[in-house]
Amino acid sequence: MAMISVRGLNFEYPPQKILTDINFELDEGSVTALVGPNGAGKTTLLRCLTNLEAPLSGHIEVDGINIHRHPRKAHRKMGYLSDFFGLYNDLTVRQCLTYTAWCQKLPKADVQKRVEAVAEDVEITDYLDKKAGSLSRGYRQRLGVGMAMIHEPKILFLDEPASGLDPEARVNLSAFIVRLQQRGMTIIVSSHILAELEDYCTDMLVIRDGEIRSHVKLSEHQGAQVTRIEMSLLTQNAAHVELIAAHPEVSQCYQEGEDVQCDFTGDAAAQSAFLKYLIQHDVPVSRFVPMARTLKSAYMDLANTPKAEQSA
Amino acid sequence: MIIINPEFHRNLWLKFSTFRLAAMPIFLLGYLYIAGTSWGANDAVLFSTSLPICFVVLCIFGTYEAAKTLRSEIKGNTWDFQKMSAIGPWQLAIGKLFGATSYAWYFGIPLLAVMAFNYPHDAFGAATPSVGVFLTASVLGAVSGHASALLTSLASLHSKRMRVILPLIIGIAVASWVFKAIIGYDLPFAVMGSADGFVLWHGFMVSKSHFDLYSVLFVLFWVVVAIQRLLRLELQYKNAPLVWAAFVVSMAVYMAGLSSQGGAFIVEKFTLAMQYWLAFSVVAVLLYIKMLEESKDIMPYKRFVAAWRARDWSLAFLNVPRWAVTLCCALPLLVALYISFPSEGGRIEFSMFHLGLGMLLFTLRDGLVLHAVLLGRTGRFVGFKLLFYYFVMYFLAISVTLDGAFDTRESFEAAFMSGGGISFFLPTGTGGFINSCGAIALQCVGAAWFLNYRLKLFTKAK
Repeated sequence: MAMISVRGLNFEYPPQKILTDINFELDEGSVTALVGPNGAGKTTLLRCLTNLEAPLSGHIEVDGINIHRHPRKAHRKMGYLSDFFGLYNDLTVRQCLTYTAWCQKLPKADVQKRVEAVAEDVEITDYLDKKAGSLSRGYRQRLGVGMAMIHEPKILFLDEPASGLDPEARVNLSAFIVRLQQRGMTIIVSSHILAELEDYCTDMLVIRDGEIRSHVKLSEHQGAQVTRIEMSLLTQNAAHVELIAAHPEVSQCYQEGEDVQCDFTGDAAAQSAFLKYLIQHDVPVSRFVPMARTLKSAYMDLANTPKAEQSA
Repeated sequence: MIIINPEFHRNLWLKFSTFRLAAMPIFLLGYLYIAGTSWGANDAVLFSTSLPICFVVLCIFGTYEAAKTLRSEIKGNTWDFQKMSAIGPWQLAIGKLFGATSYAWYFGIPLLAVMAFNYPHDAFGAATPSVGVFLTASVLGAVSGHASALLTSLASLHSKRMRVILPLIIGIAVASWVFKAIIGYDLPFAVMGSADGFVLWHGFMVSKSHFDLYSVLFVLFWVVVAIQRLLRLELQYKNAPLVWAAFVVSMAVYMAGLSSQGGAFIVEKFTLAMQYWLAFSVVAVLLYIKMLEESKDIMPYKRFVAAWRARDWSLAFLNVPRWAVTLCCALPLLVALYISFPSEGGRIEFSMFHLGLGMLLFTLRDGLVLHAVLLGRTGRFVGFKLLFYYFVMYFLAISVTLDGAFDTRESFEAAFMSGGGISFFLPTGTGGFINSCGAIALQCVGAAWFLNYRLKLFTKAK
């Protein structure tokens, strides 16, 4: 069963349409990167999914609950970290977490235990008695994540979580999301930094001009799609390039001096056969590197593909 | 250990630092010491010096705290967190109303106690309210002020220019008015006014101070309900229009009860008709307010249409414009006016029904124009355009039309009887149906055309 199901979602800030006929489903345990250029509607879509904004029309179900009919029930299933984190600066970390636990109606007897468990989880135990306003951005973010997941939601929405973090904090965030994924949590991350999403994302939603241009299941994408192969040849010879381009599994071929790149359709065995074919035809290959399909390359492919072809 | 409600508890954490906790007893003891040593510590002096301090603490500082509580949530980006928590609208309303103002109460309650112990029971003769009424008025005044400030700030929550100052002014004005209404004081300095007299309400004789007390409780109840309803919307619940309808009906019933206040002026046979008239008047005012308010946002209309097209009747019902609900409350009262208040013949034919119908048509015209102008909040100088509209329609045009109207009986009758007279610009109820309502009905048609034209432009612009 889909954990998140969106049908016919439309959102407007009159007179502008921000989201147009959004439809998608996300599986339980998936980690989805919501990507798109600035102003594409990523944050608005996240705010609609979390029911922080009321759409013009459309249906959103979270774990089978219609979020517009039962907003509070749906919110019990969700955690949300905005790009500003939304912390009470004058409260201590412990007070922030305790207040959140009360607001989420955790049983009173479990509150302190849960506060300590979450503090340990997000590694802020040493800062429990410090004011939230005195923390660095990295620790504020950890506290924000802790507050978002204190009630053990099934779905976590993260809006630009890595923005403004130093490299170490980003690595920690990635590791933390991987841990959450392993626990079976469904996560949606909106971000510009595609390289960091690479480590943990299973799905990618590409949004542009308020429309979902593509919903890519990355595992399927990596298995079935074109692989780019980079090669270096010992000598620059047009006949060799023609030979490469003529191979039935090569769709595109580009030459730059002695370096050749080609888009190759086929799995690892086919790549091995292709290398053998080159050697048998006396092509002087000194380097043969099949490049892994990255989130970035997948996104750029989609971004460069005309809208009509994406729909098709 | 949690106290009652998480939002209240969070406010206690924020408001009660060690310094602030200590400040109140230090101030109070210092004040009592100075009062005892310098001013002779007599009851009247203690009471009259505590009163303005208490007013500043409860009605000004407390109202300020209530007015800025939501502003600080928006500024601190914490509002989204509250909207996504499991805390309910009632808990949030009560937690904010009493939590945000908790320090003002911590300071104000001991001052109220000082005033109660030093209350001048007979300083102003028989008109002096009892200490119970005084304390009730003080507490109700402060709570009303805080609640009004919170409601005003909640109503302007998504305004780009959300400020603390307007809710603060409204809150202080309400607090002062409530205090004065119940005990007859002009705050902040005690000048005793008249609190005696009686009010006849739906045939019940009630002392004026008690009637004012009940009236304040009635309004306060609706203010708190309004806070809760607006918070529900913030928490993405859909509000059914029934609560608004209940408010409109209760206001109509409240006003209708005052119909016998005219005493000798009201002829007995018209008592029922006057009740209908007062009830209708308040509903008409609410209709105008709702039309004005709802003209600023096109989204509820679009949601209503989208739900209607999707045949989601319950969602469509939840999105029904509240002015339409108010209109539904006004129409039966208009019919009741028609039945109970026949038109009066004479030199100037007058009918309450025509007056009421005229009021509705004027409201409809203004509502259509406001919707056309404010549609989607686009365009430049929207506020200026509205001011210009009101200036022309309700000042300039009327001034020109009434120029010389009071010089002779003929000119007066011409202005009020003719279809080309004042009935173009104000509801008069004079001169029969065509004269009193014909011109405004035509204006409504024109306003409807204007709205339709603007809607087409708006759709094209997208």
